[in-house]
Amino acid sequence: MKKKVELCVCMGSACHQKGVSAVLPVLERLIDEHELQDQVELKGAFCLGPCVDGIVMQLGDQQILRIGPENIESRFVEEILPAIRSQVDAF
Amino acid sequence: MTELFVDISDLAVKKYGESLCGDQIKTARTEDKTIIVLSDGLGSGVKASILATLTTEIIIRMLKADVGLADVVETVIGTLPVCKRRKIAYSTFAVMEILHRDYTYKIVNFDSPPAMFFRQGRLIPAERRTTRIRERDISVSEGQLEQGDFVCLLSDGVLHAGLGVKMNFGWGWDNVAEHVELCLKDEPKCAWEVTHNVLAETHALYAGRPGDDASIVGVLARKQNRLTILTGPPLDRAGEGAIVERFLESKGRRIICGGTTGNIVAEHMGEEVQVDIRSMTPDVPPIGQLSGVDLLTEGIITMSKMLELLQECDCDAAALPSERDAAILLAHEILTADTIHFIVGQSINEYYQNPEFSKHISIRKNLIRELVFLLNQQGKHVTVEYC
Repeated sequence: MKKKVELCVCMGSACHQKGVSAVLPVLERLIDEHELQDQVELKGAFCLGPCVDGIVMQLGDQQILRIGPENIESRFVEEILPAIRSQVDAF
Repeated sequence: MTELFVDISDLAVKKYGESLCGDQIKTARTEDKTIIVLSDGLGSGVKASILATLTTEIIIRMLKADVGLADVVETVIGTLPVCKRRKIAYSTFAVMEILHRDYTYKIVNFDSPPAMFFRQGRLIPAERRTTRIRERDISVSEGQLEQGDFVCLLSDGVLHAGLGVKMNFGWGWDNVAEHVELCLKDEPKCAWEVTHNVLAETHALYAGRPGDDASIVGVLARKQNRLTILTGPPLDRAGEGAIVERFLESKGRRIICGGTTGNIVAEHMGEEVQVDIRSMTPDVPPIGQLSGVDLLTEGIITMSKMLELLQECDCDAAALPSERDAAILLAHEILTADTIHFIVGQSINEYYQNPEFSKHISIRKNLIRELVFLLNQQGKHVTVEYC
């Protein structure tokens, strides 16, 4: 069985203030739509560091910054999805 | 020896038609002891109220300053004016002093109804000795509190309830004691459950129009619920380890309020915080998990929300919302605790200086100060250390 890629979403003070609760459902829907449920494990975290550049997500060693409810769809397709695919292929 | 908490509830009703209560109750908790004073000013209304206030204030202040009980009583009796016509002192009082070291107590009654002592829900006939101070009889009883013990101090207004209304001679000491036994059958979790019940009955016996000021103090010795809350990263990173160790070794329940703080503790333990993403709401960040820690939450937003909840429910845990988010769980923990110790780290996340972060969540210290003020009002024993 393939190991899952961990996609970590910051839910600390700053990222919560920046609307992570609105981002999470969209992110879950996108993972479903792209049929990544078996490849990605969505995890929460408290403070991933660069609060000023929140909302912060982390995929392996790579941090994805300045996510927001307004750009999550496009950022997912353009950056997060390819990053997930390349990590899955690396396993 | 089980660590006990002395839970105190005092309630009073004033004589019908009066604007002030002639019974006054004061309690104080110092590091070493708990002091309770109930004073009944002669008559009712303003004069009675002032005399009773004077009496309780003198006693509380002297006892807090560690003056011996006998000296305090002597001073008060010497100070109190005596009614020329009736030849009795202008106010009566009952004092209870409990030492935290071994929970030994002493109750002194001066012309007031004898205190009631209950063990395992049953009235125990107290051994009282009478001493004379300044030619007045003082009744003294002593003992040691055990878990579950209940002590009742009251004014004669309770004993006289119903006098001439529903009963010929009023409710009476024995009947009140029997009523308290009935209340104790339900194994009350706090003293208020009993005092509230007794005073409601008093009010009913007076048919809603008390003929005298009536007051009661309930003292319930119960297992102490301790809580330690660690919030905010310490200023001194080098001292962090010692603080984390001390936190993890603290007695009772342990809570971390702060994402970064949680990460620091996790790192020292060689673990990782697990976040329950389902518990997040638009208002409150999620709940985290870490072994040895009973609750882990985000810091400023969750604590602000919790403070709002406490104010909204008037510090009554039963009135908290039934949902399960971090702020509600935190409010529950805080309301259940008797003794709360805050370890407040003062390291500031620079992001919070950012104007887009709303102002009410910018300063941890103010939040703690406001919270401590509220909890002290609730009779909780709260201590704070900054690091």
